Amino acid sequence: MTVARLTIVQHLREHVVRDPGPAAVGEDPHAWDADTAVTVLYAAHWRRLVGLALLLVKDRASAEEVVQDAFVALHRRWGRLDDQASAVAYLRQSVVNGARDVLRHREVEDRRRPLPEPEPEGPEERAVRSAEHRTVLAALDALPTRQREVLVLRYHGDLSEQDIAESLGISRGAVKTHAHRGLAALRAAVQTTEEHS
Amino acid sequence: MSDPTPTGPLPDDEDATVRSLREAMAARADAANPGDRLAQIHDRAHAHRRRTRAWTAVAAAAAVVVVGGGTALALTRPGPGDTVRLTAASAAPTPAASTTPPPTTAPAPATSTAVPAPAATRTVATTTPAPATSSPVSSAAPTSALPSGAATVPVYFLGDGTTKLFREFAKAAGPGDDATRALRAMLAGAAQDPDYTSPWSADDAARVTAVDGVLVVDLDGSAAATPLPAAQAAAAVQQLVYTVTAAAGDDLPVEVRVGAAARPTLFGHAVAQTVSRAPQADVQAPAWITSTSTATPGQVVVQGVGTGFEGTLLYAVTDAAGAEVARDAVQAGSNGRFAEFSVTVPLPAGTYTVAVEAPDESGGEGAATVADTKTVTVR
Repeated sequence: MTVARLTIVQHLREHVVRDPGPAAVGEDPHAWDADTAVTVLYAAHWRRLVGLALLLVKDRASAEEVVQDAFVALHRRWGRLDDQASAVAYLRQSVVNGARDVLRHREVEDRRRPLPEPEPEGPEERAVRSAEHRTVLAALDALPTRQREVLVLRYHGDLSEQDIAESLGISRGAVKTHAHRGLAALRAAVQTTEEHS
Repeated sequence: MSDPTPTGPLPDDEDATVRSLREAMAARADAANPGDRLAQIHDRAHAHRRRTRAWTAVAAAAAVVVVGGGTALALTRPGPGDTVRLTAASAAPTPAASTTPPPTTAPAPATSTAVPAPAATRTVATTTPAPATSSPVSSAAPTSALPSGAATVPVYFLGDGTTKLFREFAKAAGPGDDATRALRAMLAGAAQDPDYTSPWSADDAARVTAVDGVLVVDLDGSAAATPLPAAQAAAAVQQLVYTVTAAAGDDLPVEVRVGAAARPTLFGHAVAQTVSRAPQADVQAPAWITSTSTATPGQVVVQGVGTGFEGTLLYAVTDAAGAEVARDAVQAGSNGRFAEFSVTVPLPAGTYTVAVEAPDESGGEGAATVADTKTVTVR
């Protein structure tokens, strides 16, 4: 109870302090209130972050939920963030953390959960284009969580090794190890599929 | 995992696996088409308490209908009490990585399966509106170069005992553009899957040229000499049309010429001046297995494309002795719309046959169901 109340008090304090009310939206993020910040950042980053989350959690409903949670958290946090760059980093970090929670929960909860809804644009024409993609993605999905996270952040998020290390709370050496192992598994998977199909 | 793992610098685009991974991830992220949740975000942010744990929200999300293309509207929704003008933000809702379509070409979607393009993120190649038939005609130059150099080309076959089409990717060697290589591979008829057949005969001189918005296929008469029942002859022509349009990356009408003469007789039946792709649901097998992966020990990942009543396909796995060891439903497209499916089946090491088919909803009165089967070896 005490904890919950403290959180609310904290939240109100941040909100009251930083919320200057409706204001014209300028280029300067420092002048934005939380609503404006969320609206502007949503426009610029919602789609991209859902894409990132989708690569981490593999199903769309969870991906959107994780990113939605990140924006709600950002709204609460806005007063403590310095600028838009740190806001984007905060959103990304929230997405990585939220995705990890989803995966952890999923592991414990139910290994035979219903398959995610197929993507709406999936006729054969698209398959013509993406057969190789799907081989790689299936292999990516089969990787241990850490390896997948490192590969997604490195090669989709274009984060540096240092940023990945900080984001995942592991050493740079571990980032390299996970990335190399993950890539080796992907190479093997592509070869196996070519032999079998 | 005791083998030493290199710890040097991470490879980048000089590495084929990295390139492939990048493209694949960009394609998946780009296809996400997330629904609009700005209103929900504002609502939740303004509910001054943490009323939802993430987990109840995730469960509820399964019920949320995801509507693509809503992003543009979302951009103009102001926060409560605010008049929001979005400046630079509205210009770039997507990252650079996902605005670039994969470099490989793809045929334009047949009109029967056309899907709305994600808002403002793709460049549409066709310059003329498609007519209301299944043969959209693009405004091509009188003679245009066809794509070439693909590592593998799509080749269509008929299922054994059916008139339904299946597709493989063939490492078709030899000179020429992709469509010509695919055509020759199709005529040669050596499918990797032993269940796939082709009534065509080899013709190493066959070729495809794009002339005035038509794909012209030149054949020797011997490639289609054996008379066939009309339905099979029509299916064979669609097999050819699907192959050359897929490899050419454009859904153009196809004109078949034998010895430079138009309107030839193929398999004992006259062929129209031009033939376009028939609707997928009419000619394509309802379920294709497009890949099987046994990279991870103890399982097989089966992926494919299909359509079924209420989107349901059935898969079954039989072991080497012919005993069924797994059987379940998997969701694909419905109402004649094809969609991708993916299923991971845990299995002990061994050799298995995986079959996917659309269940027979006619109570046994319709045609026999057409299954696609693949043999896999689980480690």
